[in-house]
Amino acid sequence: MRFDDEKIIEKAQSGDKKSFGILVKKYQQLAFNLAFRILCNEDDARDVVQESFVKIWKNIKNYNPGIKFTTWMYKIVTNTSIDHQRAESKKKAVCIDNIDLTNHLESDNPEFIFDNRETGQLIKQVTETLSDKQRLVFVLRDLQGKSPDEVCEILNLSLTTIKSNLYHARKSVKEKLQMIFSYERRNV
Amino acid sequence: MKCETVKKKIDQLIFEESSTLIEEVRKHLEICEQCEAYHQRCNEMRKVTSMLQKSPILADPEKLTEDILLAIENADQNPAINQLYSSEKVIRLITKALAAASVILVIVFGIEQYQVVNSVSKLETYSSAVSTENPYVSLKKLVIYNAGTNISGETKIDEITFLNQKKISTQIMQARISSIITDRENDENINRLLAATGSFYRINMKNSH
Repeated sequence: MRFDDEKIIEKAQSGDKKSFGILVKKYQQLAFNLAFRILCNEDDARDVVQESFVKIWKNIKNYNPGIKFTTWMYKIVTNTSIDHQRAESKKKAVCIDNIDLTNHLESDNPEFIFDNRETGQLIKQVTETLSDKQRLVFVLRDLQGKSPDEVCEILNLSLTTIKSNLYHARKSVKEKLQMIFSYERRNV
Repeated sequence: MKCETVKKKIDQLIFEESSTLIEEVRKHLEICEQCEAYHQRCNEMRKVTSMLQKSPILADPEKLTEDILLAIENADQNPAINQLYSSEKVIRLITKALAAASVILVIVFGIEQYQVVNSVSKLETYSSAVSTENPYVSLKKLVIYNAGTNISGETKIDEITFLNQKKISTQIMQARISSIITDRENDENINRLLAATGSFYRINMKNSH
């Protein structure tokens, strides 16, 4: 954690909302990235980010400077996302529309360009057969780019569990991608 | 290098942005068509995963910051309400406690229901088997299935005790027994009958009028 972050957090811990606002501005995109990748929906992700920062504010005095602020934040965002997802899944059945990659395959563009809706659908599609644990490990490690140690800290799991879940998650995601590509090729 | 090992190395490319193929793998790909084809397929998949690794677009970040700070302001102003109503953990805990209580009630009530139904069936079977000629017993008179039968001097059961001395506590169970035993005159006979069926120990009754 950088020195200026430490100062800002110290001020926020003493109740300075202006300093907390600086933290929000600085880290809301990171929080949004994680919430979006777990929930695969922009509006839900925004709600979760808001709820998470309220929790962070309420518990900022309990924050232990011994761990990275982002790790602590990711932990709260992950738990809030899981709670949100459980509550939402009770309200409505989740419908997954298969993403159409045909145009992207035909295009010579070296990089595919997805909007948020397409990205969300594709993440949902490739992770739909994963267990909750596998999905969280995959999102944190392979999509958020967190180190295995940080994933352990965020999810409160051992390194062995992380590695095992990541192995199965990658295997399943690869199979899904293969299926998507073989389907798209038939339709090109 | 074996094809299987090469494919494992190529697999890493799909998910790890920083991973690159080592020289040994590259040389293998030059001479192995099958592995090269696999490499091409994985490269396509890599394009998709690298797209998923890009940050999603956060529309109107200033609005989100404002909303967050407003939510914090509201939370500070209504700490009691927040604690009471927005604490999902408390709500979940209460829900679980209620569910557990329901299960316990069903089990307790079910056991008592079974005991009563079983004992009442024995009582009914026994009473129907006994001769009606004995004026002191007159067992068939004791068993009336319709609790709605209008009988003067309605009998109300105070307490029913099983052979194991366990008392029937619920009113609904007592009502069921009451539907069978309605004749005030046969108090003693009822208790003799109960002992004979091997189900009940004693029924204490009082006249509600």
